[in-house]
Amino acid sequence: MREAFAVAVLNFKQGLREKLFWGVIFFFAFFLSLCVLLGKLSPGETEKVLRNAGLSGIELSGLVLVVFSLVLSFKKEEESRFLEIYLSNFSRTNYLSGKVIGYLLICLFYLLLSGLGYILILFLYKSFIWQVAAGFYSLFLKLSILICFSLVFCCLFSSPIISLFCSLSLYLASEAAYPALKIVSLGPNRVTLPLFKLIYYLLPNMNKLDIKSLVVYGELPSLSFFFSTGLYTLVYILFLWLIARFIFLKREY
Amino acid sequence: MLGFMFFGSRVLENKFSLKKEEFFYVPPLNYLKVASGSFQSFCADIFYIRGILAITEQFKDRMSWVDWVQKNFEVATDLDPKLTQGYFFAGVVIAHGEEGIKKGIQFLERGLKQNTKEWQIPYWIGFNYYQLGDYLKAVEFYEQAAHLPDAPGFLKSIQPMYYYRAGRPDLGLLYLQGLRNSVGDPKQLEWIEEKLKWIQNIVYLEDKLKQFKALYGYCPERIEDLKGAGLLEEIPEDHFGGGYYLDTDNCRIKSKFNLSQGNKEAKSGGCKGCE
Repeated sequence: MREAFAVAVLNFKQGLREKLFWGVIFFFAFFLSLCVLLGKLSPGETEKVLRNAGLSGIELSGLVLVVFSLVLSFKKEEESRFLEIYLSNFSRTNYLSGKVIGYLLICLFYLLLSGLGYILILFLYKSFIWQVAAGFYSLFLKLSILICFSLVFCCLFSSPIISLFCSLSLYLASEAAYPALKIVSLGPNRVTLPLFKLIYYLLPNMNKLDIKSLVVYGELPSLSFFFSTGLYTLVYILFLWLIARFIFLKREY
Repeated sequence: MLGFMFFGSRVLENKFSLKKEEFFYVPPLNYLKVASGSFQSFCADIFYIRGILAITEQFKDRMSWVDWVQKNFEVATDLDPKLTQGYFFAGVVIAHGEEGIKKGIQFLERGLKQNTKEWQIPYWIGFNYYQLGDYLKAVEFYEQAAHLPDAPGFLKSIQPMYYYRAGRPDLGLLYLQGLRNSVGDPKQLEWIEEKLKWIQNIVYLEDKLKQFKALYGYCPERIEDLKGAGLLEEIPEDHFGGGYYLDTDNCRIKSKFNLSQGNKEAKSGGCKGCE
């Protein structure tokens, strides 16, 4: 466990040194100014639009950060001799665990930084409500699952481009799964419904994890919801980590 | 080079005016729902802004403009039914003329099905019916709005006026009597009593008017004729309005409550009592 934390700290420090991290921060700062403009263009709903656009921006920029950063760093370590150094000092299991924890920390740190900027803007435009803070919890859960999926794809494919595409496609698929299932269940062709249901329940349930549309109106789900989604994400992460570990142990470096 | 870029851009801007066709398209809702995933609410905001910008656009045909604006707000409110102001813009702000107002009502009634707890939507429907002159319908929706959470108190107080305008002061009287029994606040009771007295007098005078018509077979020319016929000892005092009078056009008792309306009616010869 100690070794895993040592790898996590190294990954965290390395992640913060990357230009990508600060590039995403810069992009988010630009996005915040866009949010202000969107808010001004929405008479009557300014506060809601400002809150919603900010949370959506944090999610999208966080997605770009964790997926690209993880896939590129994995490839970089593989191409340079860093991976060999890591594996000569740490076990493969600890290396993978450290990678996951390190990127979870990066994600958390990013959410903290962007959250501060976001809350500041909300305060400035008198749109702040404390419930938006709960939105960060759900964003963290969503991005955590995505980190683990990217790790699985990194272990599975040697090409970083394929890993990137797979991670992003999986994210899009899990985002679109719920409305797609709803449309299929309302349509005339009900033969494919069981297949869609199977896919929907296998993919991460982003629809349930997402509470952006609730918190922007100052509404919150029950405490049991927070507990259940946290547990669901933990189990999902563990499952993905096991798959990644299985593939990683089989690979030759 | 910077200068070339600047002037180049200016030349392009001034020399070539391309007649680009504008593309008025709103994607089907099903596709949008799939494509937006958990960003449905954000997507709704984008269409809301599109709707706001569409209000400022120039169209040759007014109804096409109404359609275009409403389509954008329709998508926005379908993706996020809580965007209440979207109903306001598409149902009230752009609704002008009989056809436009009817379209506005249609839009708002659709929104009412999606959003049953927002008092503003039935209130706006009532407002549109009021504009169309259908006071009974207006009062029906105001009553619906008054019973929803967070509805302001005035929604309860304006209903007798609409019943009166619809030519049904008896319903207004019943409404106020019911309201008096359900209210405990002395301040509210005070204005209820005041309005109650006012509408009671109208109902009483209308009853006397009916008796006059039954006796003589025609409508009297002045309210004082009721007194002359021995049906009335005295014309009651109008504490709420500016005095009761007989509208000979409809043969109805009215109150000089709305001065501008009173003057208009006086000009058109409808208000003999105003003279």
